[in-house]
Amino acid sequence: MITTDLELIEQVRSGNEEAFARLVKHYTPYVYRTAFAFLHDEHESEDVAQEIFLKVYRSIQELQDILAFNAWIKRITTNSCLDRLRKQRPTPVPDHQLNQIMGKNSQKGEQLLEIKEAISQLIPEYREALILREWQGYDYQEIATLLSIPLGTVKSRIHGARVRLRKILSE
Amino acid sequence: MNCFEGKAEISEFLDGELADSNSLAMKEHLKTCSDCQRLADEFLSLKFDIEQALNSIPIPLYLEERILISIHLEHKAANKQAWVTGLFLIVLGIPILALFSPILLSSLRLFNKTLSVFIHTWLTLLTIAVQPSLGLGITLMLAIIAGLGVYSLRALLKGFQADEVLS
Ligand SMILES: [Zn+2]
Repeated sequence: MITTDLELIEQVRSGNEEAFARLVKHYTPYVYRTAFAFLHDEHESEDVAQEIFLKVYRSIQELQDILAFNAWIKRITTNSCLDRLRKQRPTPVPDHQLNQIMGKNSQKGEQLLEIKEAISQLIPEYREALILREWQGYDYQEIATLLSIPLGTVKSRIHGARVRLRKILSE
Repeated sequence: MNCFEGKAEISEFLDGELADSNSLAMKEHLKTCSDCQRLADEFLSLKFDIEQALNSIPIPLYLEERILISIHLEHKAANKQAWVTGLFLIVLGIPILALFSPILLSSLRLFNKTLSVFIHTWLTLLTIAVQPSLGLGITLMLAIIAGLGVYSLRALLKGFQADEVLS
């Protein structure tokens, strides 16, 4: 995640439209990539990204502590993605678009593409637990709360996801 | 710790979720078991690779602009909705007002009457009790106190709202 620019947040809270535009520009990569990591669909991810920023726009006045802005936008992003995921199921979307977009020549690009494809091949339960841990940086207890599952299930899903990912990548 | 346990707990260990004693046991195990050590290394590099891979997801062209436009439109629509609702309430309010106007009128009349009786009594009492000039002074003072009361109450309410927004 990116560092928070406190002055920018204050300006947004005072109703400065231009500051809000800068905030959107600043956080769009994080918000969109998170959505894409969960949903693996360009249109859905863009739609969720719009929804997330609309929530930010509407409720930034209610944010108690601007120092907590990063945690706040992370929570909005996570919850919006998980909500969308619940609605989206059960339709696993194979990501064929990635092939056109990413690294055609570079070896590093190939490798990253491979990992992204491997993530998209994980079962949804594994994928969401792994992204919450590796990308969003939540601890096990937080993930258990977010997904409403027991702590033991979080442990087994994260470990299972890693084992599975390693196997897909070695195939 | 045997190897089966070691493997299952490697994820917890790497994520800092193992209790101190178990964490220590895992460290000892990794020193002696090359299988588990290799798995731990692979998981660690996987962690790094996942982050890199997700950070390389391309952002659609002009996405920020589209987001801002959609929020702008939504904002405009919400404003329009507020206007329409207001207008609707007024239109709806007129017949209701017309329906209840006799009651409203009579209660207004009653209020008016009560007020005039009240003022009359007040003036009579004042003229009986004290000199006219002193009576005027008392009335003015009471009016000022009442005005200050209303003003401070409003200020208090305003301050309360501001606090709510800021928190
Ligand atoms: Zn071992």
